[in-house]
Amino acid sequence: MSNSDHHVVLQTRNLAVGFDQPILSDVNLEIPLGEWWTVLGPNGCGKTTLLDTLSGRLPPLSGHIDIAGHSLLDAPLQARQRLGYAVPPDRLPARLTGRECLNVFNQAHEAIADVEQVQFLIEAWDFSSGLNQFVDRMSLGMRQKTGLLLAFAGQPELIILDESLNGLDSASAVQLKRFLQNGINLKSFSVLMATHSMDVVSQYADQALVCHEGRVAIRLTQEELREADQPLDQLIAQRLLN
Amino acid sequence: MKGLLVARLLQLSLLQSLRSIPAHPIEALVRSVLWVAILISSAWWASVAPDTMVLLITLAVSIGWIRVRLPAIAHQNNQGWLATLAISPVTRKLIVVIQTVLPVLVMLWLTLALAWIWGADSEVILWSALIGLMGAFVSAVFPHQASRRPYPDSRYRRGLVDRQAGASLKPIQSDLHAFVAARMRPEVLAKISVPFLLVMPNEVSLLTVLVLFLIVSALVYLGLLFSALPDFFRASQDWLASAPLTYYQLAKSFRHTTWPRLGITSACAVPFLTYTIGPIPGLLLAVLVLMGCIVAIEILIRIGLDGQLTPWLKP
Repeated sequence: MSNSDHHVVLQTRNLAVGFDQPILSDVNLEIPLGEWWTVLGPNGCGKTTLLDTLSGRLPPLSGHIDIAGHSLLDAPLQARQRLGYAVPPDRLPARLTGRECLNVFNQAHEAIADVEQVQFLIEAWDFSSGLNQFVDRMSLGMRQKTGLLLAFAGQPELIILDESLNGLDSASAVQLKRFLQNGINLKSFSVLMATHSMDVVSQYADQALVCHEGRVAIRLTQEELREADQPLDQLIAQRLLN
Repeated sequence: MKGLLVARLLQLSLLQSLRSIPAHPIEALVRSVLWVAILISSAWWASVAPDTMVLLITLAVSIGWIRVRLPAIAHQNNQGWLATLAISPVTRKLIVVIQTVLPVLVMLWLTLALAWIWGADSEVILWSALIGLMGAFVSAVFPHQASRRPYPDSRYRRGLVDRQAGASLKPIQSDLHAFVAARMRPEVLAKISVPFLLVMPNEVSLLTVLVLFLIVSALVYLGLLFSALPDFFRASQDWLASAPLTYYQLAKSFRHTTWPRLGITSACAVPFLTYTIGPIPGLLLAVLVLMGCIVAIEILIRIGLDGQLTPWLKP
Protein backbone atom coordinates (compact mmCIF):
# COMPACT_ATOMS: atom_id res chain seq x y z
CA MET A 1 0.00 0.00 0.00
CA SER A 2 1.27 3.43 -0.83
CA ASN A 3 1.03 6.05 1.86
CA SER A 4 1.29 8.94 -0.52
CA ASP A 5 -1.19 11.74 0.16
CA HIS A 6 -2.27 11.54 -3.46
CA HIS A 7 -2.87 7.82 -3.49
CA VAL A 8 -6.40 7.39 -4.86
CA VAL A 9 -8.33 4.44 -3.46
CA LEU A 10 -11.49 4.86 -5.51
CA GLN A 11 -11.92 6.43 -8.90
CA THR A 12 -15.03 6.25 -11.04
CA ARG A 13 -15.47 7.70 -14.49
CA ASN A 14 -18.86 8.28 -16.13
CA LEU A 15 -20.34 5.55 -14.00
CA ALA A 16 -23.98 4.58 -14.45
CA VAL A 17 -25.55 2.20 -11.96
CA GLY A 18 -28.91 0.47 -11.84
CA PHE A 19 -30.62 -2.75 -12.85
CA ASP A 20 -32.24 -2.44 -16.26
CA GLN A 21 -32.46 1.34 -16.28
CA PRO A 22 -29.90 3.70 -14.70
CA ILE A 23 -30.72 4.81 -11.18
CA LEU A 24 -27.66 7.05 -10.90
CA SER A 25 -25.71 8.30 -13.92
CA ASP A 26 -22.54 10.22 -14.62
CA VAL A 27 -20.96 9.44 -11.25
CA ASN A 28 -17.38 10.71 -11.15
CA LEU A 29 -15.58 10.18 -7.85
CA GLU A 30 -11.97 10.35 -6.75
CA ILE A 31 -11.41 9.41 -3.11
CA PRO A 32 -7.85 9.82 -1.80
CA LEU A 33 -6.41 7.59 0.90
CA GLY A 34 -7.25 8.79 4.39
CA GLU A 35 -10.60 10.48 3.72
CA TRP A 36 -14.10 9.79 4.96
CA TRP A 37 -16.79 10.33 2.34
CA THR A 38 -20.51 10.00 2.93
CA VAL A 39 -23.38 9.43 0.53
CA LEU A 40 -26.71 11.02 1.39
CA GLY A 41 -30.11 11.06 -0.20
CA PRO A 42 -33.71 9.99 0.25
CA ASN A 43 -34.75 6.32 0.29
CA GLY A 44 -34.61 4.82 -3.18
CA CYS A 45 -32.30 7.46 -4.62
CA GLY A 46 -29.65 4.84 -5.48
CA LYS A 47 -27.23 4.92 -2.54
CA THR A 48 -27.24 1.17 -2.01
CA THR A 49 -27.16 0.45 -5.74
CA LEU A 50 -24.13 2.71 -6.06
CA LEU A 51 -22.32 0.99 -3.17
CA ASP A 52 -23.27 -2.47 -4.46
CA THR A 53 -21.77 -1.55 -7.81
CA LEU A 54 -18.61 -0.09 -6.30
CA SER A 55 -18.13 -3.25 -4.24
CA GLY A 56 -18.51 -5.50 -7.27
CA ARG A 57 -21.85 -6.98 -6.28
CA LEU A 58 -23.65 -5.44 -9.25
CA PRO A 59 -22.17 -4.85 -12.69
CA PRO A 60 -22.13 -1.19 -13.75
CA LEU A 61 -24.38 -0.24 -16.65
CA SER A 62 -21.50 1.81 -18.06
CA GLY A 63 -18.33 3.57 -16.98
CA HIS A 64 -15.18 2.56 -15.10
CA ILE A 65 -14.37 1.76 -11.49
CA ASP A 66 -10.79 1.61 -10.21
CA ILE A 67 -10.00 0.53 -6.66
CA ALA A 68 -6.50 1.49 -5.55
CA GLY A 69 -5.44 1.61 -9.18
CA HIS A 70 -7.00 -1.73 -10.17
CA SER A 71 -10.01 -1.90 -12.46
CA LEU A 72 -12.90 -3.68 -10.76
CA LEU A 73 -14.00 -5.04 -14.14
CA ASP A 74 -10.62 -5.99 -15.65
CA ALA A 75 -8.73 -7.03 -12.51
CA PRO A 76 -11.49 -7.90 -10.01
CA LEU A 77 -9.27 -10.06 -7.80
CA GLN A 78 -6.68 -7.34 -7.21
CA ALA A 79 -9.40 -4.73 -6.78
CA ARG A 80 -11.34 -6.78 -4.24
CA GLN A 81 -8.23 -7.53 -2.23
CA ARG A 82 -8.07 -3.81 -1.50
CA LEU A 83 -11.75 -3.49 -0.74
CA GLY A 84 -13.60 -4.00 2.52
CA TYR A 85 -17.38 -4.18 2.29
CA ALA A 86 -19.60 -4.47 5.35
CA VAL A 87 -21.97 -7.27 4.41
CA PRO A 88 -25.55 -6.19 5.24
CA PRO A 89 -27.16 -8.22 8.04
CA ASP A 90 -29.77 -9.80 5.78
CA ARG A 91 -27.14 -11.18 3.40
CA LEU A 92 -25.10 -13.12 5.93
CA PRO A 93 -25.39 -16.93 5.78
CA ALA A 94 -27.99 -17.98 8.35
CA ARG A 95 -26.49 -21.34 9.31
CA LEU A 96 -22.87 -20.35 9.85
CA THR A 97 -21.38 -18.79 12.97
CA GLY A 98 -19.93 -15.30 12.86
CA ARG A 99 -16.47 -16.74 13.45
CA GLU A 100 -16.79 -19.12 10.50
CA CYS A 101 -17.71 -16.16 8.28
CA LEU A 102 -14.72 -14.22 9.57
CA ASN A 103 -12.34 -17.13 9.02
CA VAL A 104 -13.38 -17.38 5.38
CA PHE A 105 -12.79 -13.69 4.79
CA ASN A 106 -9.43 -13.76 6.55
CA GLN A 107 -8.42 -16.78 4.51
CA ALA A 108 -9.52 -15.12 1.26
CA HIS A 109 -7.39 -12.11 2.11
CA GLU A 110 -4.60 -14.42 3.26
CA ALA A 111 -4.69 -12.47 6.50
CA ILE A 112 -4.61 -15.22 9.12
CA ALA A 113 -1.78 -13.52 11.02
CA ASP A 114 -2.98 -10.02 10.35
CA VAL A 115 -6.16 -9.68 12.34
CA GLU A 116 -5.18 -6.96 14.80
CA GLN A 117 -7.75 -4.50 13.47
CA VAL A 118 -10.53 -7.04 13.65
CA GLN A 119 -9.38 -8.27 17.05
CA PHE A 120 -9.38 -4.69 18.36
CA LEU A 121 -13.03 -4.24 17.39
CA ILE A 122 -14.05 -7.64 18.76
CA GLU A 123 -12.58 -6.73 22.13
CA ALA A 124 -13.94 -3.17 22.08
CA TRP A 125 -17.42 -4.56 21.41
CA ASP A 126 -16.94 -7.50 23.83
CA PHE A 127 -18.14 -9.62 20.92
CA SER A 128 -15.91 -12.67 21.22
CA SER A 129 -18.61 -15.04 22.50
CA GLY A 130 -21.26 -13.49 20.24
CA LEU A 131 -19.20 -14.46 17.21
CA ASN A 132 -19.68 -18.13 18.08
CA GLN A 133 -23.44 -17.94 17.55
CA PHE A 134 -25.21 -18.87 14.35
CA VAL A 135 -26.04 -15.80 12.31
CA ASP A 136 -29.79 -16.47 12.40
CA ARG A 137 -29.70 -16.50 16.21
CA MET A 138 -28.02 -13.10 16.35
CA SER A 139 -29.83 -9.82 16.93
CA LEU A 140 -29.74 -7.14 14.25
CA GLY A 141 -26.92 -5.33 16.03
CA MET A 142 -24.83 -8.51 16.34
CA ARG A 143 -25.30 -9.29 12.66
CA GLN A 144 -24.36 -5.73 11.83
CA LYS A 145 -21.17 -6.13 13.86
CA THR A 146 -20.36 -9.41 12.11
CA GLY A 147 -20.80 -7.75 8.71
CA LEU A 148 -18.58 -4.86 9.81
CA LEU A 149 -15.83 -7.20 11.00
CA LEU A 150 -15.82 -8.83 7.55
CA ALA A 151 -15.12 -5.41 6.05
CA PHE A 152 -11.86 -5.15 7.98
CA ALA A 153 -10.50 -8.59 7.09
CA GLY A 154 -7.09 -8.17 5.47
CA GLN A 155 -5.83 -4.65 5.05
CA PRO A 156 -8.41 -2.98 2.80
CA GLU A 157 -7.64 0.48 1.52
CA LEU A 158 -11.28 1.30 0.88
CA ILE A 159 -14.03 0.50 3.38
CA ILE A 160 -17.58 0.62 2.01
CA LEU A 161 -20.35 0.88 4.60
CA ASP A 162 -24.05 0.96 3.78
CA GLU A 163 -25.95 2.42 6.73
CA SER A 164 -23.81 0.21 8.93
CA LEU A 165 -24.56 2.14 12.12
CA ASN A 166 -28.18 0.95 12.03
CA GLY A 167 -28.89 -1.44 14.85
CA LEU A 168 -25.70 -0.74 16.77
CA ASP A 169 -26.06 0.38 20.36
CA SER A 170 -24.73 3.87 21.01
CA ALA A 171 -21.53 2.71 22.76
CA SER A 172 -20.66 0.33 19.89
CA ALA A 173 -21.43 3.03 17.34
CA VAL A 174 -19.11 5.48 19.10
CA GLN A 175 -16.34 2.85 19.23
CA LEU A 176 -16.77 2.14 15.53
CA LYS A 177 -16.65 5.83 14.58
CA ARG A 178 -13.51 6.33 16.68
CA PHE A 179 -11.95 3.28 15.11
CA LEU A 180 -12.72 4.54 11.62
CA GLN A 181 -11.47 8.03 12.43
CA ASN A 182 -8.24 6.58 13.80
CA GLY A 183 -7.70 4.57 10.60
CA ILE A 184 -8.43 7.70 8.54
CA ASN A 185 -5.93 9.74 10.57
CA LEU A 186 -3.26 7.06 10.13
CA LYS A 187 -4.09 6.90 6.41
CA SER A 188 -4.67 3.18 6.75
CA PHE A 189 -7.82 3.34 4.65
CA SER A 190 -10.59 5.55 3.31
CA VAL A 191 -14.27 5.21 4.11
CA LEU A 192 -17.26 5.57 1.79
CA MET A 193 -20.43 5.41 3.84
CA ALA A 194 -24.10 5.74 2.95
CA THR A 195 -25.93 7.15 5.93
CA HIS A 196 -28.90 9.14 7.11
CA SER A 197 -27.08 10.20 10.26
CA MET A 198 -26.39 13.92 9.94
CA ASP A 199 -24.16 13.99 13.01
CA VAL A 200 -21.76 11.52 11.35
CA VAL A 201 -21.71 13.67 8.23
CA SER A 202 -21.15 16.94 10.04
CA GLN A 203 -18.57 15.59 12.53
CA TYR A 204 -16.55 13.10 10.52
CA ALA A 205 -17.04 13.48 6.77
CA ASP A 206 -14.42 15.03 4.54
CA GLN A 207 -16.91 15.18 1.72
CA ALA A 208 -20.65 14.54 1.43
CA LEU A 209 -22.34 13.51 -1.79
CA VAL A 210 -26.07 14.05 -2.13
CA CYS A 211 -27.90 11.86 -4.62
CA HIS A 212 -30.99 13.40 -6.13
CA GLU A 213 -32.99 12.77 -9.30
CA GLY A 214 -30.61 10.22 -10.79
CA ARG A 215 -27.31 11.97 -10.23
CA VAL A 216 -24.90 13.18 -7.59
CA ALA A 217 -26.52 16.58 -7.29
CA ILE A 218 -24.45 18.20 -4.54
CA ARG A 219 -20.94 17.80 -3.16
CA LEU A 220 -20.27 19.38 0.20
CA THR A 221 -16.68 19.82 1.33
CA GLN A 222 -15.39 19.46 4.87
CA GLU A 223 -15.30 23.23 5.30
CA GLU A 224 -18.89 23.60 4.15
CA LEU A 225 -19.97 20.81 6.47
CA ARG A 226 -18.17 22.12 9.53
CA GLU A 227 -18.84 25.81 9.02
CA ALA A 228 -22.48 25.62 8.02
CA ASP A 229 -24.50 28.18 9.95
CA GLN A 230 -27.68 26.15 9.66
CA PRO A 231 -28.63 22.49 10.19
CA LEU A 232 -27.20 20.24 7.51
CA ASP A 233 -30.52 18.98 6.20
CA GLN A 234 -31.66 22.58 5.72
CA LEU A 235 -28.44 23.43 3.93
CA ILE A 236 -28.93 20.49 1.55
CA ALA A 237 -32.57 21.37 0.91
CA GLN A 238 -31.55 24.95 0.16
CA ARG A 239 -28.84 23.84 -2.27
CA LEU A 240 -31.25 21.50 -4.04
CA LEU A 241 -33.76 24.32 -4.47
CA ASN A 242 -31.08 26.56 -5.90
CA MET B 1 -3.89 -21.36 -0.02
CA LYS B 2 -6.65 -20.79 -2.54
CA GLY B 3 -7.18 -24.53 -2.78
CA LEU B 4 -7.69 -24.58 0.98
CA LEU B 5 -10.14 -21.72 0.70
CA VAL B 6 -12.17 -23.53 -1.95
CA ALA B 7 -12.21 -26.66 0.21
CA ARG B 8 -13.23 -24.56 3.21
CA LEU B 9 -16.09 -22.94 1.30
CA LEU B 10 -17.34 -26.32 0.10
CA GLN B 11 -17.13 -27.70 3.62
CA LEU B 12 -19.05 -24.72 5.01
CA SER B 13 -21.72 -25.06 2.32
CA LEU B 14 -22.23 -28.71 3.25
CA LEU B 15 -22.40 -27.70 6.91
CA GLN B 16 -24.98 -25.04 6.10
CA SER B 17 -27.06 -27.61 4.25
CA LEU B 18 -27.00 -30.15 7.09
CA ARG B 19 -27.49 -27.54 9.81
CA SER B 20 -30.60 -26.24 8.09
CA ILE B 21 -32.46 -29.56 8.44
CA PRO B 22 -33.60 -28.99 12.07
CA ALA B 23 -34.59 -25.45 11.17
CA HIS B 24 -36.85 -26.62 8.36
CA PRO B 25 -38.43 -29.86 9.62
CA ILE B 26 -41.50 -29.86 7.36
CA GLU B 27 -39.48 -28.93 4.32
CA ALA B 28 -36.96 -31.67 5.13
CA LEU B 29 -39.78 -34.14 5.56
CA VAL B 30 -41.56 -33.41 2.27
CA ARG B 31 -38.35 -33.34 0.30
CA SER B 32 -37.15 -36.56 1.86
CA VAL B 33 -40.52 -38.19 1.15
CA LEU B 34 -40.19 -37.17 -2.49
CA TRP B 35 -36.76 -38.69 -2.81
CA VAL B 36 -37.69 -41.81 -0.87
CA ALA B 37 -40.76 -42.31 -3.05
CA ILE B 38 -38.66 -42.16 -6.19
CA LEU B 39 -36.07 -44.53 -4.80
CA ILE B 40 -38.61 -46.99 -3.42
CA SER B 41 -40.55 -47.10 -6.70
CA SER B 42 -37.32 -47.68 -8.61
CA ALA B 43 -36.09 -50.30 -6.19
CA TRP B 44 -39.49 -52.01 -6.10
CA TRP B 45 -39.61 -52.27 -9.88
CA ALA B 46 -36.07 -53.52 -9.88
CA SER B 47 -36.88 -56.18 -7.24
CA VAL B 48 -34.08 -55.01 -4.99
CA ALA B 49 -33.52 -56.94 -1.75
CA PRO B 50 -35.07 -55.33 1.38
CA ASP B 51 -31.74 -54.64 3.10
CA THR B 52 -30.39 -52.94 -0.01
CA MET B 53 -33.58 -50.91 -0.23
CA VAL B 54 -33.15 -49.71 3.38
CA LEU B 55 -29.62 -48.63 2.55
CA LEU B 56 -30.82 -46.80 -0.54
CA ILE B 57 -33.59 -45.05 1.38
CA THR B 58 -31.16 -43.91 4.07
CA LEU B 59 -28.81 -42.57 1.45
CA ALA B 60 -31.65 -40.95 -0.44
CA VAL B 61 -32.91 -39.00 2.58
CA SER B 62 -29.54 -37.45 3.35
CA ILE B 63 -28.33 -37.00 -0.21
CA GLY B 64 -31.75 -35.77 -1.36
CA TRP B 65 -31.64 -32.99 1.22
CA ILE B 66 -28.12 -31.95 0.36
CA ARG B 67 -28.96 -32.24 -3.31
CA VAL B 68 -31.82 -29.77 -2.97
CA ARG B 69 -30.21 -27.39 -0.50
CA LEU B 70 -26.61 -27.21 -1.64
CA PRO B 71 -27.09 -25.45 -5.00
CA ALA B 72 -29.50 -23.02 -3.36
CA ILE B 73 -26.94 -22.32 -0.63
CA ALA B 74 -24.21 -21.93 -3.25
CA HIS B 75 -26.41 -19.41 -5.03
CA GLN B 76 -27.22 -17.48 -1.84
CA ASN B 77 -23.59 -17.47 -0.76
CA ASN B 78 -22.26 -16.16 -4.02
CA GLN B 79 -24.98 -13.56 -4.45
CA GLY B 80 -24.79 -12.54 -0.83
CA TRP B 81 -22.03 -12.46 1.70
CA LEU B 82 -19.32 -13.93 -0.57
CA ALA B 83 -20.05 -11.56 -3.45
CA THR B 84 -17.25 -9.19 -2.51
CA LEU B 85 -14.79 -11.87 -1.44
CA ALA B 86 -11.34 -11.52 -2.97
CA ILE B 87 -11.37 -14.70 -5.01
CA SER B 88 -10.96 -14.85 -8.75
CA PRO B 89 -14.06 -15.18 -10.95
CA VAL B 90 -12.80 -18.57 -12.11
CA THR B 91 -12.52 -19.83 -8.52
CA ARG B 92 -15.95 -18.43 -7.72
CA LYS B 93 -17.50 -20.18 -10.71
CA LEU B 94 -15.65 -23.38 -9.85
CA ILE B 95 -17.13 -23.36 -6.35
CA VAL B 96 -20.64 -22.86 -7.69
CA VAL B 97 -20.22 -25.61 -10.28
CA ILE B 98 -18.83 -28.08 -7.73
CA GLN B 99 -21.55 -27.27 -5.23
CA THR B 100 -24.20 -27.77 -7.88
CA VAL B 101 -22.79 -30.75 -9.74
CA LEU B 102 -21.39 -32.75 -6.83
CA PRO B 103 -24.71 -33.75 -5.25
CA VAL B 104 -26.16 -34.58 -8.66
CA LEU B 105 -23.21 -36.83 -9.37
CA VAL B 106 -23.67 -38.58 -6.03
CA MET B 107 -27.36 -39.07 -6.79
CA LEU B 108 -26.41 -40.38 -10.20
CA TRP B 109 -23.93 -42.76 -8.65
CA LEU B 110 -26.69 -44.03 -6.39
CA THR B 111 -28.94 -44.62 -9.35
CA LEU B 112 -26.26 -46.38 -11.34
CA ALA B 113 -25.54 -48.57 -8.32
CA LEU B 114 -29.19 -49.48 -8.40
CA ALA B 115 -28.91 -50.30 -12.09
CA TRP B 116 -25.85 -52.44 -11.43
CA ILE B 117 -27.67 -54.34 -8.68
CA TRP B 118 -30.56 -54.88 -11.08
CA GLY B 119 -28.18 -55.97 -13.79
CA ALA B 120 -29.23 -53.36 -16.31
CA ASP B 121 -27.93 -53.22 -19.85
CA SER B 122 -24.63 -51.32 -20.03
CA GLU B 123 -25.94 -49.15 -22.87
CA VAL B 124 -28.89 -48.06 -20.73
CA ILE B 125 -26.53 -47.21 -17.86
CA LEU B 126 -24.38 -45.16 -20.21
CA TRP B 127 -27.34 -43.22 -21.58
CA SER B 128 -28.69 -42.63 -18.10
CA ALA B 129 -25.33 -41.36 -16.91
CA LEU B 130 -25.16 -38.97 -19.85
CA ILE B 131 -28.67 -37.65 -19.19
CA GLY B 132 -27.84 -37.11 -15.53
CA LEU B 133 -24.54 -35.40 -16.33
CA MET B 134 -26.18 -33.15 -18.89
CA GLY B 135 -28.81 -32.19 -16.35
CA ALA B 136 -26.17 -31.52 -13.73
CA PHE B 137 -24.20 -29.19 -15.97
CA VAL B 138 -27.31 -27.43 -17.24
CA SER B 139 -28.19 -26.81 -13.61
CA ALA B 140 -24.70 -25.48 -12.84
CA VAL B 141 -24.54 -23.18 -15.85
CA PHE B 142 -28.07 -21.77 -15.48
CA PRO B 143 -28.52 -20.97 -11.79
CA HIS B 144 -31.76 -20.04 -10.11
CA GLN B 145 -33.96 -17.61 -11.91
CA ALA B 146 -34.34 -15.68 -8.67
CA SER B 147 -30.84 -14.30 -9.18
CA ARG B 148 -31.90 -11.21 -11.09
CA ARG B 149 -32.07 -9.07 -7.97
CA PRO B 150 -29.86 -9.18 -4.91
CA TYR B 151 -32.98 -9.50 -2.75
CA PRO B 152 -34.71 -12.69 -3.88
CA ASP B 153 -37.62 -11.97 -1.58
CA SER B 154 -38.27 -8.51 -2.96
CA ARG B 155 -41.29 -9.81 -4.85
CA TYR B 156 -43.05 -10.45 -1.56
CA ARG B 157 -42.48 -6.92 -0.42
CA ARG B 158 -43.65 -5.70 -3.79
CA GLY B 159 -46.71 -7.90 -3.42
CA LEU B 160 -47.46 -6.36 -0.06
CA VAL B 161 -47.25 -2.87 -1.50
CA ASP B 162 -49.61 -3.85 -4.33
CA ARG B 163 -52.03 -5.33 -1.86
CA GLN B 164 -51.96 -2.32 0.41
CA ALA B 165 -52.70 -0.18 -2.60
CA GLY B 166 -55.96 -2.03 -2.98
CA ALA B 167 -54.90 -4.57 -5.58
CA SER B 168 -56.12 -8.16 -5.48
CA LEU B 169 -54.29 -11.11 -3.99
CA LYS B 170 -52.83 -11.93 -7.41
CA PRO B 171 -49.23 -11.27 -6.32
CA ILE B 172 -49.53 -14.00 -3.70
CA GLN B 173 -50.67 -16.50 -6.30
CA SER B 174 -47.96 -15.59 -8.78
CA ASP B 175 -45.42 -15.95 -5.98
CA LEU B 176 -46.33 -19.60 -5.60
CA HIS B 177 -45.91 -19.97 -9.37
CA ALA B 178 -42.46 -18.42 -9.02
CA PHE B 179 -41.57 -20.74 -6.16
CA VAL B 180 -42.44 -23.85 -8.14
CA ALA B 181 -40.92 -22.52 -11.36
CA ALA B 182 -37.65 -21.83 -9.56
CA ARG B 183 -37.49 -25.51 -8.62
CA MET B 184 -38.66 -26.90 -11.96
CA ARG B 185 -35.18 -26.86 -13.42
CA PRO B 186 -34.24 -29.05 -16.39
CA GLU B 187 -31.84 -31.19 -14.42
CA VAL B 188 -34.57 -32.21 -11.99
CA LEU B 189 -36.60 -33.89 -14.71
CA ALA B 190 -33.54 -35.34 -16.39
CA LYS B 191 -32.20 -36.79 -13.18
CA ILE B 192 -35.47 -38.15 -11.89
CA SER B 193 -36.23 -39.80 -15.20
CA VAL B 194 -33.03 -41.83 -14.91
CA PRO B 195 -34.30 -44.45 -12.42
CA PHE B 196 -37.39 -45.00 -14.54
CA LEU B 197 -35.35 -45.43 -17.70
CA LEU B 198 -33.14 -47.90 -15.89
CA VAL B 199 -35.89 -50.13 -14.60
CA MET B 200 -37.89 -50.14 -17.80
CA PRO B 201 -38.33 -53.69 -19.12
CA ASN B 202 -36.81 -54.12 -22.57
CA GLU B 203 -40.08 -55.09 -24.29
CA VAL B 204 -41.99 -51.93 -23.25
CA SER B 205 -43.14 -49.77 -26.18
CA LEU B 206 -41.94 -46.24 -26.82
CA LEU B 207 -45.45 -44.90 -26.14
CA THR B 208 -45.43 -46.47 -22.68
CA VAL B 209 -42.04 -44.92 -21.99
CA LEU B 210 -43.37 -41.53 -23.07
CA VAL B 211 -46.51 -41.84 -20.97
CA LEU B 212 -44.48 -42.92 -17.96
CA PHE B 213 -42.10 -40.02 -18.46
CA LEU B 214 -45.04 -37.60 -18.48
CA ILE B 215 -46.48 -39.24 -15.37
CA VAL B 216 -43.13 -38.99 -13.63
CA SER B 217 -42.96 -35.33 -14.61
CA ALA B 218 -46.41 -34.77 -13.12
CA LEU B 219 -45.39 -36.55 -9.92
CA VAL B 220 -42.23 -34.51 -9.73
CA TYR B 221 -44.31 -31.39 -10.16
CA LEU B 222 -46.52 -32.50 -7.29
CA GLY B 223 -43.46 -33.13 -5.15
CA LEU B 224 -42.04 -29.75 -6.06
CA LEU B 225 -45.32 -28.07 -5.27
CA PHE B 226 -45.34 -29.65 -1.84
CA SER B 227 -41.71 -28.86 -1.25
CA ALA B 228 -42.41 -25.23 -2.22
CA LEU B 229 -45.30 -24.77 0.17
CA PRO B 230 -43.36 -24.61 3.46
CA ASP B 231 -40.94 -22.10 1.94
CA PHE B 232 -43.87 -20.11 0.71
CA PHE B 233 -45.62 -20.07 4.06
CA ARG B 234 -42.46 -18.93 5.79
CA ALA B 235 -41.91 -16.11 3.34
CA SER B 236 -45.55 -15.11 3.53
CA GLN B 237 -45.38 -15.02 7.28
CA ASP B 238 -42.31 -12.84 7.19
CA TRP B 239 -43.98 -10.00 5.39
CA LEU B 240 -47.65 -10.71 5.80
CA ALA B 241 -47.53 -11.33 9.53
CA SER B 242 -48.55 -7.78 10.37
CA ALA B 243 -50.77 -7.17 7.35
CA PRO B 244 -54.49 -6.66 8.01
CA LEU B 245 -55.52 -9.83 6.17
CA THR B 246 -58.02 -12.34 7.42
CA TYR B 247 -57.20 -16.02 7.54
CA TYR B 248 -59.87 -16.60 4.92
CA GLN B 249 -58.34 -14.11 2.47
CA LEU B 250 -54.96 -15.78 2.71
CA ALA B 251 -56.15 -19.36 2.66
CA LYS B 252 -58.40 -18.67 -0.33
CA SER B 253 -55.47 -17.52 -2.40
CA PHE B 254 -53.52 -20.68 -1.55
CA ARG B 255 -56.45 -22.93 -2.41
CA HIS B 256 -57.20 -21.26 -5.71
CA THR B 257 -53.65 -21.80 -6.80
CA THR B 258 -53.09 -25.25 -5.43
CA TRP B 259 -56.23 -27.30 -5.87
CA PRO B 260 -56.46 -27.17 -9.70
CA ARG B 261 -52.85 -28.29 -9.91
CA LEU B 262 -53.55 -31.18 -7.61
CA GLY B 263 -56.53 -32.18 -9.75
CA ILE B 264 -54.39 -32.22 -12.88
CA THR B 265 -51.62 -34.10 -11.13
CA SER B 266 -54.01 -36.72 -9.80
CA ALA B 267 -55.52 -37.14 -13.25
CA CYS B 268 -52.01 -37.70 -14.64
CA ALA B 269 -51.41 -40.29 -11.95
CA VAL B 270 -54.46 -42.36 -12.93
CA PRO B 271 -52.85 -44.17 -15.91
CA PHE B 272 -49.72 -44.76 -13.86
CA LEU B 273 -51.69 -46.30 -11.01
CA THR B 274 -54.00 -48.34 -13.24
CA TYR B 275 -50.93 -49.61 -15.12
CA THR B 276 -49.25 -50.75 -11.91
CA ILE B 277 -52.09 -51.90 -9.62
CA GLY B 278 -55.11 -52.30 -11.89
CA PRO B 279 -57.95 -50.04 -13.06
CA ILE B 280 -60.33 -49.94 -10.06
CA PRO B 281 -57.69 -49.84 -7.29
CA GLY B 282 -55.72 -47.34 -9.38
CA LEU B 283 -58.69 -45.02 -9.77
CA LEU B 284 -59.56 -45.30 -6.09
CA LEU B 285 -55.98 -44.64 -5.09
CA ALA B 286 -55.82 -41.57 -7.35
CA VAL B 287 -58.95 -40.16 -5.67
CA LEU B 288 -57.49 -40.98 -2.26
CA VAL B 289 -54.22 -39.28 -3.19
CA LEU B 290 -56.14 -36.20 -4.33
CA MET B 291 -58.19 -36.08 -1.13
CA GLY B 292 -55.08 -36.66 0.93
CA CYS B 293 -53.32 -33.81 -0.84
CA ILE B 294 -56.22 -31.42 -0.21
CA VAL B 295 -56.37 -32.38 3.46
CA ALA B 296 -52.59 -32.02 3.72
CA ILE B 297 -52.73 -28.56 2.17
CA GLU B 298 -55.51 -27.52 4.53
CA ILE B 299 -53.42 -28.73 7.46
CA LEU B 300 -50.37 -26.94 6.16
CA ILE B 301 -52.35 -23.73 5.67
CA ARG B 302 -53.72 -23.92 9.19
CA ILE B 303 -50.34 -24.74 10.69
CA GLY B 304 -48.71 -22.03 8.61
CA LEU B 305 -51.19 -19.35 9.58
CA ASP B 306 -51.92 -20.30 13.13
CA GLY B 307 -49.99 -17.90 15.29
CA GLN B 308 -49.42 -20.48 18.01
CA LEU B 309 -47.54 -22.83 15.75
CA THR B 310 -45.63 -20.32 13.65
CA PRO B 311 -42.25 -20.80 15.42
CA TRP B 312 -42.32 -24.39 14.22
CA LEU B 313 -42.24 -23.22 10.62
CA LYS B 314 -39.89 -20.33 11.05
CA PRO B 315 -36.19 -20.77 10.29
